[in-house]
Parts: sequence; structure tokens; C-alpha cells
Amino acid sequence: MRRLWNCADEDKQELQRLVGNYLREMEAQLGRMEVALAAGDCAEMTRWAHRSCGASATFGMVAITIPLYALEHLGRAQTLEGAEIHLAQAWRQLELIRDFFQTQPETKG
Amino acid sequence: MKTDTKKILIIEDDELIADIYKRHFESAGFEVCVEKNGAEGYYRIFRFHPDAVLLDLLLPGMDGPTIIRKFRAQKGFTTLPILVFTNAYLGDMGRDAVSAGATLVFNKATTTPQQIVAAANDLFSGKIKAPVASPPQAESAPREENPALSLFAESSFSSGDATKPDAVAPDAPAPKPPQPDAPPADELENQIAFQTAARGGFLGKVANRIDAMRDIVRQFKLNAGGAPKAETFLELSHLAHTISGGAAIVALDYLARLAAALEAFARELSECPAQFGVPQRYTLAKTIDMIARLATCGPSCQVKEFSRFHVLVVDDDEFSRTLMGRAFDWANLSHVATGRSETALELLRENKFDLVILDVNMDGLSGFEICAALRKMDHLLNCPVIFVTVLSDFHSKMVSLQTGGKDFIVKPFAPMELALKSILYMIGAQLGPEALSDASPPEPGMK
Repeated sequence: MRRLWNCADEDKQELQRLVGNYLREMEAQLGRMEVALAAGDCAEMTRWAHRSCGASATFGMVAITIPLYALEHLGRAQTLEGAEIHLAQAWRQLELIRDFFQTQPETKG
Repeated sequence: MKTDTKKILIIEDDELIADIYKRHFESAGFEVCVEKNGAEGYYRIFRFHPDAVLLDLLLPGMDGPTIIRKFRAQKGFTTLPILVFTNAYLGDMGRDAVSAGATLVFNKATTTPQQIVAAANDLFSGKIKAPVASPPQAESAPREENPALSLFAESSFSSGDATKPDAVAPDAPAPKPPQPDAPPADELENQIAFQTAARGGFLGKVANRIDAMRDIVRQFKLNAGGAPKAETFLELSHLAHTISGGAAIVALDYLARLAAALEAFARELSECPAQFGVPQRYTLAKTIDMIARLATCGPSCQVKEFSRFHVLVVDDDEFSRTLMGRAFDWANLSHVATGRSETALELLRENKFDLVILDVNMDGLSGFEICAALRKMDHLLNCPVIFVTVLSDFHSKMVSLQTGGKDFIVKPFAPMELALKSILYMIGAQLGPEALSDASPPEPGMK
């Protein structure tokens, strides 16, 4: 939270904007990974997993980067075998992140 | 009998800096008292009855914000001008000082004694209206509501870059900063003579401080297995703090800026020693080497004004761009950011940047491809490039070096370290290719 608070220059509105953008982007990108998985498109899986992994790492949300990195790795290896498990974990982590921000006084509401 | 002589109390633990300010205020007709310890400085206020206080925020005994808070709690002391020094990177501390009731806040790395004396005179003559100290505010209170904060914003600008938002209060209005009028020729000559004389004394003391900093980093290496203690980083931060303040006074701008960034980075590490690893030790060592080099070459190596440095950030992640932007705001560096590789190439063709930060994987051209392209542009041949990416494998690091990258930072990165490295490489590029050896070794990325 300290990292985010610093990044938002201790501006509550800016913090809420950044968190809102992050959550929206992550949801959209996980959705694109679902599409890539259904289509068996390894390149798209790599692309979106990499992007969301970078965004999450920068945002300080480290736990979600583990399944995302695994998805990126699978995509690079030209296989999506077991990808649905990692993707489900990523969705679960995103929910935990959303819950976390809902409980923080600076970001809830 | 009451006289017109104004009294100023300087609370500053660095003897050299305190002495220089004392001489400046005395030559401007002030009666000056100096205290080196925060707690003693606080009690001295009641005995000396100053008309203004010049206060460093990092002090032994009692820190600056506590002094201000305690002082403002006393009846009859709500309007006494309190001028404070801070580090532009340490926004929390500056804000804390303002909410405690500081009148004006100055960036220690960029403010000269003449500016401080002029600001004090302007306060006494009514040219600058001192905001009445307000009671401490809740942390979530909007920053713009405190009138002193806009003074903090304006006075923490280093010079001339009016287009760039300040690190602390980007949305605050920007009235005319309290700059001194241009001095007459003879006074200017005196200032230069003073700076030259003071520089000798300062550089004599800097050598010991550099040695002390090197010893600390050497200890980090020897204790590679154990986590360093927060106090050790604070000691390093304090050494850098004294160098930064002194360098600003004697017009060694590069040195002042670099030491200020080191001070802030070391302080950040003190708050989270677990994030310290081999890459951070390497950054510290390089920075101290550069500080030693800048101290040796003096003002002659300041080829380009720091305020004219420009940074390009290319990253398709918005939050990453925001975080990097914040780091460059803290460093008072002008910067432009884009998430599109095509736009980046256009900007590179048309502008001479002093540093380029590249994400590796982006839609369109990758960061490696952009780097290879910019190395073919004559005006950017020596421009340092830092890759910032989530990739941390050995292969990626090798490719970054092969394409002309100078360094490689792994996400999640510490913004303070990015700011420090950026300043380090930009100054290094001004000093020539031998100033810094090539990029960091392919070691584990930052946490």
C-alpha cells in the first residue's frame, strides 16, 4: 500500500484511479487469455500473460504474477496444457486483490 | 533597547553547512545563533528569541517536524517564520514539516545560501506573505488546502523548468518562487569568490565521507549472508545528506543531485532492508564512485545544466509509466512517456534525449529493437538506455547489452533506485565513456 500511496503522490483520488484502472485492465487481460486458451493461440496467451504479469509486478501484486508467469512460460513453449489451472488461479488472485482494496480505507468504495 | 537587527537561529548538524549559512546571514546583517542538536535547538528558541529559524529536518536529538510541531503548540509562536530544508525525494518528510507548520520548505540539493537569505529578507519585508501555521492535518486531507504547501512546491523547483510538475504538489498553483533579485556585479564576484573558497573546505571534508560510505558498502559485501541493518542504511543516508547540502552551497550541482538521490535511496532501503541485494549494492558502489569522481573534477565537469536533461520512457503499462514518471518528478527531471513503439521512434528521431527507459515486450517493436534503432541515430549514439522489464533471465540481460543497453532493471522496481540510476547514467554520459564501466553484471533482479 505504501508503494501505491507513494506512486499516487498521496492523492486519494489518484490512488483510486490507478487501482480502478489496474483492476479493469487485469480483468480485460484475463478475459483475453480465456479467449486465447479457447482458441489454442499460444502467441496471444504469451502476449497477454506477459503484459499482465509486468503490470502486476510493477503494481506490487506479486502473488498473481506466479500463475501469470506460468501462463507466459506455457505460451512460449507452444503448449497450453494445464493452462486452465493457472488461469483459474490468476482469476482467484484477482478476486483476492479486489477484496484487499475493498478493505483498505484509501481505496474502498 | 530593541534594535532593527534581525536574529536567526540555525539548527543544522553539519558544521560546514551551518558555518556557511552563518556567514551569509551575518554578512547580510543578521545576528546568528547555531545549534547542531535538534533538542538543544528547540530549547534555544526560547532563550535566543529569534525572528526566524532555519531548520534542517534530519537532526540528532529531535527531528525537524517534531521541533516545529512542539514549537507551534506554544502560545505566541504561530507566526514566527520557520524555513526548512528537505530532500525533494523525501516527500513525506516535507509534507510532514508543512503540516507541522513550516513557513517555507527548500530543496537542500538545489538551494543556495543567497536564496535562503533573500527569502528571509522577503519574509521580513512582507514581499512574501508567511502563511499562518495551521494545526496538524489529517493525512488524508487534500494537500492544496495548506497554503505553505504551494510554497514548498515552488521553492523546491531547482531552476527554470516551468512545464514540469513538482514532485510534491503537482496540482498546486505555481506563483512566483522566492528567488533573489539578480545581484550587482560586485556582489556576484563576491559570491563566486566565496563559493570558490568554501569549495576547498567542502571538498576537504567530502573525501572522509566518501571513505566512510565506501566502508559501509564494503561491509555489505563482507556480510553478504546476513541482512544489513536499517541503521547502517540510515548512516549511509546521513553521509549522503551532508554531501548533498554542502555541494549545493558550493555550486556543485551534479554532486548535490546525485548525493540527494543516494540519500533518498538509502533511506528507502532503511525502511525495507529486505529489498537489498547484489544489484542494489552494485548501484550504491557505482554511485559512490561517481560521487568521488564529481568531487575530484569540481564544477568543470558540469557540461550541461541538470535542468536541461530529458528522459524518454517507453512502456505500454500505464502504471509502470506513472511510477517512473513519479521517480523522475522526484528527481526534478523533465520526461515524456509513451506506450507505443512507433511514437517512441518518432520522438527519438526528432529529439535529443539524455536517457531512454525501455520496456522489452511491447506491441509492435520490442524494446531491444527500439534500442538497436536508436543506436543508429547519430544524435543518440551515446545516450544511455535502461531496460525495465519483468523478464529477469540471463538471455534477456545479454540481449539488452548486445543491443546497446546500459542497465537492466527488473519489475517490480524501486522508483528511488530508478531515479538514482538515471541520474548516475546521465551524469556519466556527460563525463565521457570512461566515467562508468558497462552495465551491471547478470545477477538476480530486484525484488
